[in-house]
Amino acid sequence: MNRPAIKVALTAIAVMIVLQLVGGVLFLASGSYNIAADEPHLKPTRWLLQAGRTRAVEFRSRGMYVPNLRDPSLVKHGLRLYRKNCQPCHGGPGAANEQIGRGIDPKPPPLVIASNKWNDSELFWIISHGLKLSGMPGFAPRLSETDRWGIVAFLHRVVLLSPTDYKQLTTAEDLGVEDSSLPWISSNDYGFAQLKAQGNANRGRELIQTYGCTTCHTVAGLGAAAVGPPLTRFAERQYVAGSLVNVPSNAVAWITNPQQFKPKTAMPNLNVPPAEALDMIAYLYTSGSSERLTALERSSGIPKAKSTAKVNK
Amino acid sequence: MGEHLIYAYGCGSCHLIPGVAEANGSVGPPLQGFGSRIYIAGLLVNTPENLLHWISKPQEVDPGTAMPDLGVTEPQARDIAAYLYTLQ
Repeated sequence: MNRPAIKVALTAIAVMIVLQLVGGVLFLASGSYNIAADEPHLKPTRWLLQAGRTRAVEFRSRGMYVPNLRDPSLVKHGLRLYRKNCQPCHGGPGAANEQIGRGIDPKPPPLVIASNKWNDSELFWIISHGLKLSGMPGFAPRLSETDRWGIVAFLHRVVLLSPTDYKQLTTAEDLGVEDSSLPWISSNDYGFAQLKAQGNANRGRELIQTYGCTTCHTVAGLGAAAVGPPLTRFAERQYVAGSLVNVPSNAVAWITNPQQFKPKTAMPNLNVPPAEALDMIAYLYTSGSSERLTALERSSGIPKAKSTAKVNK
Repeated sequence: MGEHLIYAYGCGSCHLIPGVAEANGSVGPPLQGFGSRIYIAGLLVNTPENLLHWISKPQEVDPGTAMPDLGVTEPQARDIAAYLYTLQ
């Protein structure tokens, strides 16, 4: 390419950039861009906002010291703050958000699953600083550091609370009940160890066919039916039967005897032995991203001295 | 109308609902093919009347369900149901 040709090409590019800028300014000045928050973002806008946000939070929250989040009094403190500061927009297990949280776009996500997506430092950072262009405010300095860690501690707990547990804790808090038997921190492993040791997904796949689960449920890779809810991406599902947290122990208990939880459920008791139900769950958990289960396993378990969450990435 | 109400009430934060913006939640069950679903919440036969009851007062139907009472009015529930029944 000779010099004049390069010159022409560069001029053309410069003219195009200027035209685009002018066009953009005119578009904004015309007022035709819809900034109403009760209409969803355009797909590309949403993608741009979210892609940048995740990376920025990861980057800015690195190397933070994480205190012990398995402290019952900290979790309890966190619940109180959660109800006042978070629930109005994000809701809680079985608890609705308020109008203030509904007229926002993007919609404030349900925080029952927040600790699946973000680690401790990231949650602390978001609570402290907020997120531009999302409606999420920063809570520092009005909430102290302890307050903000309390909310993080509670977010670890809430992911394992059923709507009934949540109601129990909020009622206790309302009435000022001091009861150490309340489930402020989790003290069992929710069947994760057993699932790892004994759950056999291949056998589960066969059992699901033998028991005829696909007569009523769509199961990834096995069949489609619409009597009950689809079990696709089951690893990502937060609740089983609408009211049990989807962890191995609950899912097994549901399959072996659904009527013990809901006497009127349409799901029949097929007399599945627990060991076979565990295999079925092992298979169902192969559908969808395993991110949620990994995070839950971290939030459960016997009390540990220090959070095992990754602090440095 | 139903589609906009589903968006406005944020149903998609918990449910996957084809055709609704940002509706890719995995907290509750996916609602694809809802028009052919036989039961609602595992408890009610999927009739329009039952669906209206469930959408407007889930806690009355199944105390302890994770689905919250969002204060959806009956006319709004009707529009929401109309949309859900288009999903096959």
